[in-house]
Amino acid sequence: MNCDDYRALLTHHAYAELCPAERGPLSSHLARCSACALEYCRLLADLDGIQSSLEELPAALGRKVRAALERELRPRGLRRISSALRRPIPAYALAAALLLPIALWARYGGDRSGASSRGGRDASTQHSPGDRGALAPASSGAASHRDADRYDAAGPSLAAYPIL
Amino acid sequence: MSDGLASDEELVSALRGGDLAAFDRLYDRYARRLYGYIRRMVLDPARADDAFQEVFMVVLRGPGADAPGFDPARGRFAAWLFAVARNRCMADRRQGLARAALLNREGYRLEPSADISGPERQLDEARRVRAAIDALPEDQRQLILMKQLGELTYRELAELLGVAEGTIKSRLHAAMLALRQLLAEGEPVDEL
Repeated sequence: MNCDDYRALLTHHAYAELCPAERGPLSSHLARCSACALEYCRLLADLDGIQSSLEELPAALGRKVRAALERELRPRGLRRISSALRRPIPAYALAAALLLPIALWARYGGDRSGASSRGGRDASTQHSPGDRGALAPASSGAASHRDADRYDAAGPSLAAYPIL
Repeated sequence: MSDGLASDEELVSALRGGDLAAFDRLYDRYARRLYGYIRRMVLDPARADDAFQEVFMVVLRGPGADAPGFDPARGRFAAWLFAVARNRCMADRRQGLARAALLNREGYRLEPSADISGPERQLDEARRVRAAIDALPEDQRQLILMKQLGELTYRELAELLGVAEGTIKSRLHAAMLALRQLLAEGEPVDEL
């Protein structure tokens, strides 16, 4: 083997990919031949140069990849809920969600309070002890209720009405 | 997965079963080499980060439309992992975005630099090596990056590229000669 043959093996020697049958003779040759030894040193320097051009692995990248894998591993149902929660809410939907309770309160809550205040007034009208004698006789059901609503000061006293 | 000497195949299997500790092990083993390779292939840092993450997602998901799943019977994990990374990077390059970034990148020249010293000199040297690698034909560039930065063995490279180990030897030798020629062309004047 001449120097060219040995130089063809230098890269593989640097990568420790030579079999012992090739490695032994090459090592002996490098110990004897200064030109090939210099060539080998240059090759190692070039390989070091490639290695030194290696970009640093950002520390945050590992956490980012891990988080992505964690999301992927989550059960499908949970993933769906989580993605729904993270989805941006449209402005009109947010406005509707805020206005809906107000609208419902205005429609039903306001009516109920008006009705209850009216009902309260009616009740006081119906059950006022002073007015008791002036109530129309309680015949039955809705009709008697309507009659009771009509106040007649000139009517007979309550004692004149049968109890039942 | 408590065994510190678990094989890559066992770790992949554990990861697909939901064991994130297995991911930590795989990450420790491959992240630095994989990122180094991807970062040299995809020059835009944000896109490189995305590509890096996607490779690990492929590891988790297994077979898919974009990548065949890892099959231990068909080769080593490292070869498969870098094959996935290479395909992802090549897709990125095909879009032309990486190439555009490369052309706009400062220092994409092989001309000898002016008189500089110390850390600046080291930076300049790294830039010079990068530029020389980028100027190589694609297949030679791939081979050098996967060998030097990916630290793949000749056997793994042979599996990845679907050729004999002898072919890898001759191709790598040719690639190194081409690289050294480019480096010699761009060598600073004061070193000549």
